[in-house]
This record gives sequence, C-alpha cells and structure tokens, in this order.
Amino acid sequence: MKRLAILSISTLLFLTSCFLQEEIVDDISMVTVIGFDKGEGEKILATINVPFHQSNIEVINKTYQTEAVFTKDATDIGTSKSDTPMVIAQNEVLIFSKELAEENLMDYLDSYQRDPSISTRLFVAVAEDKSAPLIARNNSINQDIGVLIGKMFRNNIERNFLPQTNLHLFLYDYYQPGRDPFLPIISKDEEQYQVKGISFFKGATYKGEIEFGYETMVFRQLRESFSHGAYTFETKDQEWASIQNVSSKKSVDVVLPPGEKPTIKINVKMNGFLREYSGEKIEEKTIKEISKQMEDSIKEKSTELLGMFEEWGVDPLGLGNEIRKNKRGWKEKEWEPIYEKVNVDVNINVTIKETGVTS
Amino acid sequence: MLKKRGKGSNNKINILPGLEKLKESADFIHYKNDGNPGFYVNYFKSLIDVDILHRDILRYVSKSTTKKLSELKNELPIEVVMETSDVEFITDKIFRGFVFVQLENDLSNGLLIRAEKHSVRDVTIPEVEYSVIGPKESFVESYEVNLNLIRSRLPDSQLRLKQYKIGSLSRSKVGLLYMDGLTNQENVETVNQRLEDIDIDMLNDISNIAELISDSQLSPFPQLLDTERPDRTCAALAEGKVVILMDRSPHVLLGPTSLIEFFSSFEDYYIHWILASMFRLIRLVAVILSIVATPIYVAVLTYHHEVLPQDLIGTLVTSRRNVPFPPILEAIILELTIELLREAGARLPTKIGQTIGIVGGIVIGTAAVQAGLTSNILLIIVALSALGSFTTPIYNIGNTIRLIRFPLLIFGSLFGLLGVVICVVFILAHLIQLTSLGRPYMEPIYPFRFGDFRDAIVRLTLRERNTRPVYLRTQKPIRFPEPEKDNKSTDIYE
Repeated sequence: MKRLAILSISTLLFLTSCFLQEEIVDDISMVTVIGFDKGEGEKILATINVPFHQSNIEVINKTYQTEAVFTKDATDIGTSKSDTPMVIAQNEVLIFSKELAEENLMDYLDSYQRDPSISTRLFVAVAEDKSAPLIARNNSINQDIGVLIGKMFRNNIERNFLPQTNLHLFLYDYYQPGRDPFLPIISKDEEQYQVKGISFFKGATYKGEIEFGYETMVFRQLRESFSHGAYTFETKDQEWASIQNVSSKKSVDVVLPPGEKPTIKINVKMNGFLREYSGEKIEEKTIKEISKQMEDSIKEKSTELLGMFEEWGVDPLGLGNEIRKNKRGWKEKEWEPIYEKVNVDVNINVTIKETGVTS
Repeated sequence: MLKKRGKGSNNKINILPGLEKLKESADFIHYKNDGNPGFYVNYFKSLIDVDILHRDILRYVSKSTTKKLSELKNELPIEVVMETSDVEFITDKIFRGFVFVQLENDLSNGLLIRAEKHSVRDVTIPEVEYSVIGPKESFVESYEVNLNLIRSRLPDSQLRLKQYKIGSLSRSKVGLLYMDGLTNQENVETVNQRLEDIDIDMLNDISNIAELISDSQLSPFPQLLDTERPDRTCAALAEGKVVILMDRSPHVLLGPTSLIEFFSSFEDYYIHWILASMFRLIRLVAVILSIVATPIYVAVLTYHHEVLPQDLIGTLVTSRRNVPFPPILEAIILELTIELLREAGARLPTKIGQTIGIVGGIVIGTAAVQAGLTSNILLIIVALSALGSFTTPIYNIGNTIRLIRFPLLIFGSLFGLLGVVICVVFILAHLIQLTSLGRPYMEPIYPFRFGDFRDAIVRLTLRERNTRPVYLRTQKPIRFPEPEKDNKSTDIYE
C-alpha cells in the first residue's frame, strides 16, 4: 500500500505533461507592447517593445521588428534577434493598425485569449493609422512604454470619458449575443500618447469611430455608470459653463407590449458640480437653465450616436442583449437589424448639486 | 580519633562487605568512631550536607549511650530515619544523600539518616519564555523546588503526583502530575504506561523523555509542549492536561497539546484580549510568512514572471541583474548564512555573541549585496523570514519552522508554485494525521471544534472561555458557570 502510494505520488510529480520552462526574470526579455501591421503578402509585421531596466526608474526601450504569419511566431522570431528569450506574459498593450482592424481582429487575438499566462486585463487598442511608428523610435522616453500606455488608458478610464475596456471586456462583448465590442484608438503626438477616440466593431471587424471628448462622454453615459470627468460647453447666452461629473448612473427599462414594437428606455441620471461659469452671477434660474441645456445637448448627441451605430450596423450598447434578457426564445437573427426592430428612448436627467461658494 | 576508610570486616553477619564496592570511590567516607558504644559512619561526602551531619547526627550519636538502634533513632532530631539491613536498599539510599550509621555491637543492622545536600540555583526570571507582565518565576533544576512552585499555585487535593525512577544509570526522578477527577484518565494512563515502558540507561533532560514518549518520533513537530513557566504549567493542569516533570531539568512537559498552542505566548493571557488576539494573529502570519516567503520568491522568479506586478519588475530585475546565481542558489546561500549566524550566536558565550550580530549585519548584509552575490530583495525576504521564526514563544517550534523551509525551497525551485503547493499539502497531511498523546494535533482546525476557537487563533475574554478544550475530553468540561449577562443598560451619569 505504501509502495503504491509513493509510486503514484512520484508519477503525479514526474510524469506530468506540464512543462515548466525555466524563465528567470532577469534572463528574459519581457515584451510589454506589440504593434501589428500588415506585412508582405499574408504576413503581419510586428513591432515589439522590450524594456531594459537600467535602474528601477530608468528604462531604455528596445524595439524589434519581425515578420511572421502568426502572432506568437513574431516573438519567437524576435528571440533570434535578441540576447535573451522573449516572453509575452507581461504584455500590457496590444496595438493593431486600422488596416488589420478592418479585416478580423479575432484572427490575431485568438492566440492571446487562449494563453493562460496572458492577463485578460491587457489593453487592446487600434492605432490611428499604422502601429509601428507608435512603438519604434522612443529613445527620448526613459520609461517602459508598455507601462506608460497602460497607465494612460487606466487613467482615462478612472478620471475621464474612456469606457471600461480591456481584452476581457472585448471578448465578453464579442461572445455575448446581442452585443458588439469597441476599442480605443491611440495616437502619438510628439512623444505623447493619447486616446484619439473609440472605434466600433461588428464581430471583430472595424466599422467606424467617434472622437474622444464629448462624444465618448455621451457614449459612456449610455453604456455604463461612472463618476469623474468634466465637460465645458457654451450656453445659449454666450457664456461658458464647466460641469464636473460627480456621478452618472445608467439604468435600462425594457417595455414589451404584445404585438407592438418593444421600447428600450435608457435612463441616465447625472449629478454634476458646476465648477466654473463665465457669467456674472449664478442664480437658481441659471442653474436650471444650464442643466436643461445640458440635458438637451446630451439627448441630441445620443440620438446622433444611435444614428451612427445604425448606419454602421453595430450594437455597442447591447440593445439586442437587453431584449434577450427580457424575452424567452430570443434569436439573434430575428432581431437584426436591432435599430429597426425596437424604439430606443433616451432619458437624460442632469442635476447640478453644487456650485461652490458664491459671493 | 578518626580512622580513615579501609577498616573492613568485623566478621559477624555483617552488612559492611556489601558496601565494599562503594569504598573504591574516593569521595566515599567510612570510619569508626570510638566511644561507648563505638559506631561506624558511611556516606558520600559529595552528596550530603556536612552541616546536618555534624549538627544533627554526630552530636547526638556520639553522646548517646544506648546500644539499641530503635532508641538511637528516637534520639535523633531528624525525621527521615530508617532501620534496615537490606544491602541493596542501603546502597541506593547512600547514593541519594543518606548517612548510614551502625553501632559497633550490631553490625547486621543500621540506620539510614537523610542528610542530602540540595545543589539548587535560585528561582530566576524565565529566559526562554520571558514576559513583561506576569509572574517572573521559572522552574529550576530541582524537582522539589519545581513541585513547590506548582503546588503553591494549586493548593488542591485533586492535584496528584505519580513518581517514577527512570534510567538504569541515572535513576532520574520523574513525576507525573494531573488533576484527579478532572483530567481524562485515559491521558494519564497513556503517559503512565509510556513512562513505565521507558528502558534506558541515562536521562539528561526532560527533552529526552519528550523524544521517547512522543506519538510520532519521525515528525519534526514537537508533540509535547515544553515550558519553563510555572504559571503556564498550572493553567495547563487546570485545563485538564497532564504534566511531566523531571529532576535536574528546568523544563516541564505539557500534553496533550495542539499546534496552535505553540504559537500562544503565556503573556497573551495577561494583556487585554483584543491586543492579545492581535499579537497572536501577527505571530501566526509571521510564521506562515517565514515558511513560504523565500520559496515563493524562488518559484515566482524562476518560473512565474507573469504574476509579478508591473511596477515591481524594474526593482526586481535591477537588483538581480548583477547576481550570477539562479534564484535557488542565491536563496540557499543566504538561508544557510542566516542559519550559520544563528548557530554561531547560539554556541558562543553571550558577550562574544553580540559581535555576531555586527558581523552578520554588516558583512553579510551590506557587503554581499555590494559584491553582487545576492539581491537586495531576497536579503529583505530572508531576514524577514528569520525574524518571523523568532516570534514563536515556544523555542522548539521555531526550530521546526527553520527546518521545513528547506524542502519547500527545493520543491519551489524544481516545480515552481505547484511544487510549493504540493509540499504544503504534504506538511498539512502530516499535521492532520499527527496526534499528541492520542489526541488530534491540529485541533480545533481539524477536527473542526468551533468552541475551541475561543482560545486558538484569537483569545476571547476570560469570562467567555468557561469551558475546557474539547479535545482533552476532561471529566468536567465546564470550568466555571457562565456568568449571568446583565442586560440592563445604564447611563454613564447615573
């Protein structure tokens, strides 16, 4: 019995097919960003960034360019150019060129979603044009650009109008019936990265984009609840008002009258804080007026956005899914195109809670 | 007047030849005192108190004119006096510090008079289990003094003592203490039987007994709690545990015990229960950290770089870049260095021992990192885990923790985190099947006993701990009646 136990334990230990590759932290090249572009023929051109830590704050970014058929091949070929093996487990950001996004991103993301060493918090982004110039030639940045871009995204999600996004959410939207994914668009402007906008996908194919700013704010309000972010706009009396978003809560009601077109009500309750106002005095009346104007402008923008989505045939708000939640025997085919089958009713409610100390 | 030894046989039915062998020792004194009647005195001068001999024995024996031992016995001011003719008994008693006196006219009989010398050091402050608050007494090497320390705390007729003589050479006095009508009789019987079954020549310390009567002698975990505090011992007795003490040993053994008990300092019971619980938790976390910190470092750095937080990579990579060794070698070198320091510190006299700290701190710490032999981060981790293993209140378990780090380290370097997990599972499996005097060692965690958690990972108030631990299966599970709760709310100003 004892011998059997020892035998089975040692079998478990030594005959596992789990293959442990020794990868000591300082003996590997940890890839933090990869950018994919279209290469020659069927191949893709990968631009790989590997940070070299000089001290715990000073980093030199090394860039490699390889051409390969598959995404994983790119790093394997990269290994042949580098002094230490390349590993992608610490990958922070994946950037695809718009050209690739217009085809099908799942061809490339598939190997990433199946790799257990890849964190699904990985950011996936679309480059404004080509991805290689974003990554290559970063000699003046003494910080790991993977960390830099990752932090930039995180910052925009926490404090600005970029809706929650990462590989996990992309895949969730992709696989969930009645929902379509979106990805942020990244651009570089003289050594500075920024979120340029949001691109929308049908399946995993690029369909269209909106600009970062007011449009993404409205999109985010329609998509999820969040806080933070500020917006400045011009009122009817030619004055400027800056409103800080304290909290924006989104809720959805689905009305399914039998035999009629269902209605999806998207209710957005926004609490704001009037930070600055160029006018002379703020009175009760002005506050009401400002919030009214804001409501109208958001409503107008959301109708505009829904029009764009209808045109592109994408459903990033998950309207189809809202119907699915409320209706038995829902079939995706029957509800397409979703914008023709349902009425979308957007209710915006802006409350200005605070104006600060007024004299 | 005094005749030196060598005066052997006066040929009657004599017991003196029986003592012939003792005379070969230089410290055995045998002489005849002329008088009316003359008498022989035999004793070991190294074992008896000369004051007692001169003041309380010789003065009376030499003055006495009686020729009968029984009359002489009554004249002596000493209580323990025995009239005997059994040579073996006499020899044994002489070795226990008795003086053997014979009258000239009756050489087949003699008196054994107790005059033993106690070489006892004073009761001092506990050094191994020091506490700031609470009694400052600790056990000493004398059985009688130790018993006195216990009895004076528990003046109760239930406290019973069974005595044994173990060791064919050392003939050590070993005592078994328990509370009659309270302690589980099965536990007492188990210890009783195991003590009786010991067949050995020499016992030097109570740790020898612990080793001989433990349930599993292969296990590195101590199964009997070793303490030098009389207060802890008495608390254990009152809880329903069995206590073993031994002459010439300043420690006693408590059993049955559980693993958690080794991490409870007795000072926990003297400070406020919330603070005590907090400190106990800190101690447990420190111990767990001490066991797994280095293995996890090695496993993660060797195989699982994906789990490292992005912000930590720069620090780790730069501190490791100059190190020529793989993480496992680096870790073993440092761990062994710390063990070396500890061993050296323990072997050296206290005054020189202090320099060890300086040598260790400066040379090993700073120089090794500057020379690029180890990384800064590992140095911190190893130092922390060494510190963690010092927090254990019972010294023995600290040694165990020192040891079980190494297999974890090796498994971690061979199989990564999987190896660490496998090794931890092995240790847990071993702990779960381990018993202390036949009682589960991992109690109250396994078997799960909710009630016993009142004094395990945390310590609740004294009021709430009104039951004895379940695993001891005491005859009286309730310590004291639960106090009635006063639910009437009162205003502070009333």
